[in-house]
Amino acid sequence: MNRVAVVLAGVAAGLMSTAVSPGCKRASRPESEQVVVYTSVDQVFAEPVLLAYKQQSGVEVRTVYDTEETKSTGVLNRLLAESETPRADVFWSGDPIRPQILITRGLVAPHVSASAEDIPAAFRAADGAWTGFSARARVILINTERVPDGERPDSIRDYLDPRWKDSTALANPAFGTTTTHIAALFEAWGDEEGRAFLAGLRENGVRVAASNGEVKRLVAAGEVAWGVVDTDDAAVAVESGAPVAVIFPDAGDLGTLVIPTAVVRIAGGPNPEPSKALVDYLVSAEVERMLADAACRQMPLRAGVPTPPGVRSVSEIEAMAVDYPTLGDTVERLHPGFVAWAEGTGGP
Amino acid sequence: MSNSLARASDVRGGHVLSGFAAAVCIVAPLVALASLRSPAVGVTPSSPWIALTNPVLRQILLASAARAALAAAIAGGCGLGLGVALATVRSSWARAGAVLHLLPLCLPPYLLALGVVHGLARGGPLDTAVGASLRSSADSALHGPWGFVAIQVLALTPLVTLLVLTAVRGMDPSPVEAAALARGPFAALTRVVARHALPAAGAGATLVFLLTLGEVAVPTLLGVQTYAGTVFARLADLSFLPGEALSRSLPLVLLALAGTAVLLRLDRGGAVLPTAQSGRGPAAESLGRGTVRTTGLVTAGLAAMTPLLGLVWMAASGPDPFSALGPALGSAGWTVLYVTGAAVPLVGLGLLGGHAWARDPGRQTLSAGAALLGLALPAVVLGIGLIALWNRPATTWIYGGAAVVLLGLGGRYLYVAQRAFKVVFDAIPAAEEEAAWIARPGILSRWRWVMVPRVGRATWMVLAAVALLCLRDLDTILAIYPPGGETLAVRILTLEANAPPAQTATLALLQVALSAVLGVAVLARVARRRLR
Repeated sequence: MNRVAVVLAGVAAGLMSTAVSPGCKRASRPESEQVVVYTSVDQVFAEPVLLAYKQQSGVEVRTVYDTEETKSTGVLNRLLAESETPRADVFWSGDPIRPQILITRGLVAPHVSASAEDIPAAFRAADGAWTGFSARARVILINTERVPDGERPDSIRDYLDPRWKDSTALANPAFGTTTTHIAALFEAWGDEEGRAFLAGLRENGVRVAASNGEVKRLVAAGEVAWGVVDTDDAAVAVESGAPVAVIFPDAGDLGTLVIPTAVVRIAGGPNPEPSKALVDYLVSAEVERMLADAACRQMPLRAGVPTPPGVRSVSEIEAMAVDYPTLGDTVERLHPGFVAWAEGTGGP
Repeated sequence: MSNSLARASDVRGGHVLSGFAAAVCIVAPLVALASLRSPAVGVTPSSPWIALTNPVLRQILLASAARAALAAAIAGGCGLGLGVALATVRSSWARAGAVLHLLPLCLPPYLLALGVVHGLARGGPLDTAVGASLRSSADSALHGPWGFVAIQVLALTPLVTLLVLTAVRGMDPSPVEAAALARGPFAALTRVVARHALPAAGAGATLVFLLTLGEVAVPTLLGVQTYAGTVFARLADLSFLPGEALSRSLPLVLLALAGTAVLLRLDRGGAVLPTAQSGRGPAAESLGRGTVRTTGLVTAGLAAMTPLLGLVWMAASGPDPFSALGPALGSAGWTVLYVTGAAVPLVGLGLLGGHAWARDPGRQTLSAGAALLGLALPAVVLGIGLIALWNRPATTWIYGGAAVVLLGLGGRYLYVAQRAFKVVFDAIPAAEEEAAWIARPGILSRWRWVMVPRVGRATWMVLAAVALLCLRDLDTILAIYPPGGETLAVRILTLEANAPPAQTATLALLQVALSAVLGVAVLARVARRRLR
């Protein structure tokens, strides 16, 4: 019977593992003591912020993180799949576009946060549907060993310049902030010029990488001369000591695309009151400062938030004029085409 | 004989249980997935035959299949040689080489890719070794189809080695000894032993083909476009088209079914996995000293260590690598709990379902087909289906906690557990069981006195295999893990993008340690039973 006993013990262990699962803990924990967050902000940057909140407030924060390479199957996807019975209280997005998808579908509960009053109006909804804070920008990361000082690219249009043929990289426009960036270009230039730009990328041999992190790696390793990444990727590359430099593109023309992180409350989430408190915390100046000091070196939207050397605040750069809710509609319209373009089966 | 056993209530019950498990864990989620409405706008879902009618998708599918075939061919060839070597030499060096060679099978292939990538990264040990002149070409080769194939070969060749080892250990030694005396050890090895092991190598290569075809994380990291990746793309957040993802999975399902047909054909008469009537395998003494074979195993072991050395280098070269361990302990805990919680019921299901499949194979078609579907589909497709099925107010107790992960892992690996036990029971003559059925008609006493003693050791092996599969799983769990309940493999993936490389590598080494502990524990258990 020894074997039977062992198997039974194993089954018991399996059942115990279910019994002590997070969900069971959640069921027994009072609502005011916990909040569930889904975030597409890189875990390495989001986790310290959420831990700090937990320590300050005593509220248990349960999190589902997204990944750089698997944003295709990430948290927004899960939020949509769960929309009939929401499990998340708060979605902290790495960009303001994906929250628009939720807003369009009525999956968001507005919350006008008192802590967001000093955030510029362009970066938040007046009705509190979404609130932007701590931003990244889309910048050109160059390999200084491959790009001479006098020949540095300064515009997104340089992707089409024949002198950079087969020596640049761009993350897959079907995913992440590159989707937002290319859609913003479509909006600024019009669909026809946008399509011509995508066709030009193919013709000029631009390497389509899996993610911005991959573009960063290609540039840092000198495999390509330059590529467009987010400021957090660029900051990590600079910090690593790689021979790279950062250029804020399109000054005097379109301007640099600024992509704030954004937070929304999920309608029907299991912990409505704690979610408001968490949103208030996330959009606070304290968190903007934390994210500016972190390795991602994100840019505060507020004027006057102290930043470490080398980190600009949004007010210091020439930013592209963008209406984020409209851009959200554009992204949704164009995205299937971006996926098809990346696969080679069509285009926007 | 088996016809009378087919009437036994445990066999009929096994079929019912097997069908029920496949229905709950696989079929129902897929039906729920197919009925999900897509929130995307302006997109018309394509035909289920899009992979065959769209020239670009067809090209991607063919390229993916070609890469998978190449990986299968290389792994099949290497595994044949290494399996034969491992079965026919008795040196401690060979055993050590074999242990190192087998270790990658226990790890998510993604970690191996990470180790090689970072080993080749600027300043890494391989980078230093090849020098600046070769850096760019080595890096380019790695971040492309060749690198993907190399990682898959490294990760999956041990599977072929194990199957070949099992086949050779089960062969009749007399023709080998006769050939060795008449023509020498080399001819005996190549013309008798290797030939005998060819079906096993073929079966292993078929599995490598299927696993490579469905792999997503490694090609994504290495920037390789794959057909499985296009299925994922249809589950992309802004183009969430679950129905189309399902239809795009059709070619993968068809290939999986074809692969299973190949496996069944190769395994006719116990050619892949030995039966109870099998022999003891050739004696090493009759086949020479085996220096070349030992060298081959040691070389394979050292090759398998390359990515791990890359991870060790990466962990050691960064500041404060151990700071990542504290926050990751919770993830390690969840990993152990999910693995335990999924593997034990899977072994129970495998035992009963596999027994039914073996004793009454005529009724296994539907449950085996459904279980195979769970293994062959891209894991995220199953994951989204589980969300669609279980995320309801009435089933919060399932979806809100670890139970949904256990269902996901169950659906994913049900086929492996049942198929493994089917092979085990196939090796037990039905006459023995029928005699017990007549002598001891009670189910419990028959299992207690006849069945369990015959499959005790195999049960441990299946438990280990299923546990290792759950431990290395990434794609299934990633889609459905409960908030705050991430596994170590998921944590490594979510941290990899911008976390300090030393910390990511430290966590990867912790995952390696978990796999090693599990492997060593089972080996020790099996060895102890053998000594008794």
